[in-house]
Amino acid sequence: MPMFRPPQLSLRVLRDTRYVPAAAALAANAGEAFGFGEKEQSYLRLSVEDGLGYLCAVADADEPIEIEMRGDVHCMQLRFRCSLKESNLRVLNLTAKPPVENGEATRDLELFTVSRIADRVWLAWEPNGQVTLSVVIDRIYAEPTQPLAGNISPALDWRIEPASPESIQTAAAIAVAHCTEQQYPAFFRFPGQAADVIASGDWQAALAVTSGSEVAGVVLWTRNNSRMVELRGPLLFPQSQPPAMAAGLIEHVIRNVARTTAIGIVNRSTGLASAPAGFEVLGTLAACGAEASTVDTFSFRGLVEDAGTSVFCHPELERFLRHEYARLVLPRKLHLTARAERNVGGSSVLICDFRAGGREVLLRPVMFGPDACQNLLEHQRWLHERGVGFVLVELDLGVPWQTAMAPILLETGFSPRMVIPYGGRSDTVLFQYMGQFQHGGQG
Amino acid sequence: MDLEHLTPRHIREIEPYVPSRPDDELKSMYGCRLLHRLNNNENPLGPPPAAQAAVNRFPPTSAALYPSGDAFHLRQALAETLHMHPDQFLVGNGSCELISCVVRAFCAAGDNIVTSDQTFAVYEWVAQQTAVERRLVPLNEYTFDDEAMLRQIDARTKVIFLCNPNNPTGTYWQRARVMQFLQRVAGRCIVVLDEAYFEYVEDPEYCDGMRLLDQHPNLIIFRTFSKMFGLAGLRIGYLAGAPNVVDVIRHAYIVYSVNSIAQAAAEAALRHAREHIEETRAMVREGKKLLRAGLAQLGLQYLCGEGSYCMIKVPMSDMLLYRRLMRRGLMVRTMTGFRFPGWIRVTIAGRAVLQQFIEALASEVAGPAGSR
Ligand SMILES: Cc1ncc(COP(=O)(O)O)c(C=O)c1O
Repeated sequence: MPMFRPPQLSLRVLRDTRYVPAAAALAANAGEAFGFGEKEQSYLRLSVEDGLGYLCAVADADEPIEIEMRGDVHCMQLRFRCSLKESNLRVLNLTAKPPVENGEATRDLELFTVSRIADRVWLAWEPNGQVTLSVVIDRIYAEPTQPLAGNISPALDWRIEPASPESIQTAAAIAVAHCTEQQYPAFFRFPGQAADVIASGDWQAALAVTSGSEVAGVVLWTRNNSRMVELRGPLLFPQSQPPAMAAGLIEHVIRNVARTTAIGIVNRSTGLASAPAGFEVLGTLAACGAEASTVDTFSFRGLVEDAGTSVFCHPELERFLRHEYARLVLPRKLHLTARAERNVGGSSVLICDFRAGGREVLLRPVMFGPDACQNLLEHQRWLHERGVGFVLVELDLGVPWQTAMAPILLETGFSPRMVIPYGGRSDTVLFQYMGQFQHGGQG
Repeated sequence: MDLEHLTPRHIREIEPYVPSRPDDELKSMYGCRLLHRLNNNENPLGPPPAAQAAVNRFPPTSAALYPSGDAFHLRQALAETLHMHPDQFLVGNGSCELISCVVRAFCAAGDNIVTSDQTFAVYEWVAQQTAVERRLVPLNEYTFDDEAMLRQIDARTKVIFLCNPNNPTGTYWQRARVMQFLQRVAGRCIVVLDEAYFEYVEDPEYCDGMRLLDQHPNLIIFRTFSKMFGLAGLRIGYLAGAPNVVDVIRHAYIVYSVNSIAQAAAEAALRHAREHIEETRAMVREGKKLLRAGLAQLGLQYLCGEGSYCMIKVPMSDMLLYRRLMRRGLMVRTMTGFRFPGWIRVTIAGRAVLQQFIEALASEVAGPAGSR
């Protein structure tokens, strides 16, 4: 299948608000040229207008602001890159209230608007001190997937084949009928989205097809950062299909990614206490949405020989890390550090990634600040009030300032649940909120 | 600087090969005192004594001088030992460099190479680096599949790479099969027989590619001094072919890439290696016997054909086993990268080391480890 090559438009704009309308007009046209509907076009236009407007106020005057727009099949991606004079990006926190003072909108309102229009935002600091603000606007799909119930008989004979944009829709419809929402990826909820995601190459999938041409299993994988493959499934329809089918689907994935730049595969077995064969158990999380006693098991399959690496480690996390590294036989040198270093001064920012139909959220710190503890508590409360029962935080052990978050997490009721090898710049640690939710007024 | 814009897509998509770290670093990381490298199919007996003497004889002051740009004396020696003409040989900085020369000499954009998906990775990597299409034909019964490969040939196929015996499966084609394959290719493209493990092969029916060069001008043979001759650290290998074919490859050849010590050591190895080869073969023979017995006792599936290595299917992730064995000072090669997930490849070494390996393997696979 030829890979889709997304069209791209880039723009370098001087830090001057006079150019904002021109850039916004270009964005609207780009949205149309990328083949998106009016709504998405207007979101892209607004994002560029407000994003650029905001950056004109806070970016370094000497350098142009770079804007890049990319039209994928299923989403548009917008990236701003510049150096910042100041860096209080507090409003990116989902808990932030509209920045209005004495009835007047403050300058931050523009950034606030961008982050609320977007389906996802991300903030990354580059080694040269520049910041990249990434915004994703998903295509809007109208038709939800119709469940395709019906009995698929236990297969004696099957073949494994790559899924196409067409066949993935069948798999999605069967998955929606046979599985819980936590088990399949969110894009299975819309057939058009499932097809587009596969067509874009963002996700790949393989199907187990019986001799009677029925889809009896599916596995999906994606590169969620440059080095790690995220594996979803295998899902079997019904789950009682022979274990060899699941093994075959997984082997298909491994062989596909074995000679790529990926260095490992991470899998989450939803509602299962075990991992696929050949995967190493990283740890478990209390399963969201299921009965209290069940767990989701995270596991890892390395694709390259581990030559060892170094990680930053807060003293309060040392015991946990040493224990986990010994258990997993992962050679690591720990650099103990308790300092926050970078990004101190402004406010802390946590980015929320909602999963499992909104029942779970993964928080990732993108900025540290003296208000980190308060901010975390506010997020917990905010999420709890909205019925999000499962709160996770991921810290990157390759980023020294993130280790400074560890004691704050431990204090606020989070427990380290597992190490994910090479999950970020280095290994990451996944924390889950295990405490009681604190009731009470808004923080 | 927009690095993404500057870098061609085919280069960005390549997995940069991450060589294993130096021993001292690995030992410190894994906390082991000794480290036995059973991962690269190096010869644990080292180079033949004559080659060692050649290295010792090398005058340090000569390091200031460029080497012979085309390995003049070594090619003479090759011609004498193999009864061919010196111009039929090209010497490279390891045979890996020559793989790259062959692909660059014959392939342009839009051309393709045909090889297997479960073989030495460098054929595939070089094609990727040069933006040449790779047609990877699955092995059949762990062996290169002649019929399926023939079906892949089209007008844009320029080179077929056959690894004989195959690394890592140890399977090989006998003479008759190679000859029949060449007949059916009928000169439509170049056929490379990579005989990196030639000197280890015991089967009398094995195909010595050099003997076929006269009848098949599209054939190229690769050999190396890295394996049997124990000169992997000096990086030297060679190819042989019909003079006009070698001439073409010379257009893409990198002169002066093979250093003087390597050339001198290789020449000495070539001329005085009989005993060394016998000794090494005896070690490999004995080692394979030991391994087969040990693996059978553990009930593990294995492939132990020709070559200086053995491939073993293990009941856990090969990456996990690698780390566990490293902790015990034993370094094997994981096979996920060869698209054999759950297998390892181990280089045949002396009795004591292999015994240690079998014992370590036994205790690692015997535990409740399974897939953990
Ligand atoms: C089949 C095969 N060809 C070539 C080589 C590389 O040889 P050299 O060291 O001469 O580059 C190897 C080394 O592992 C090999 O296994």
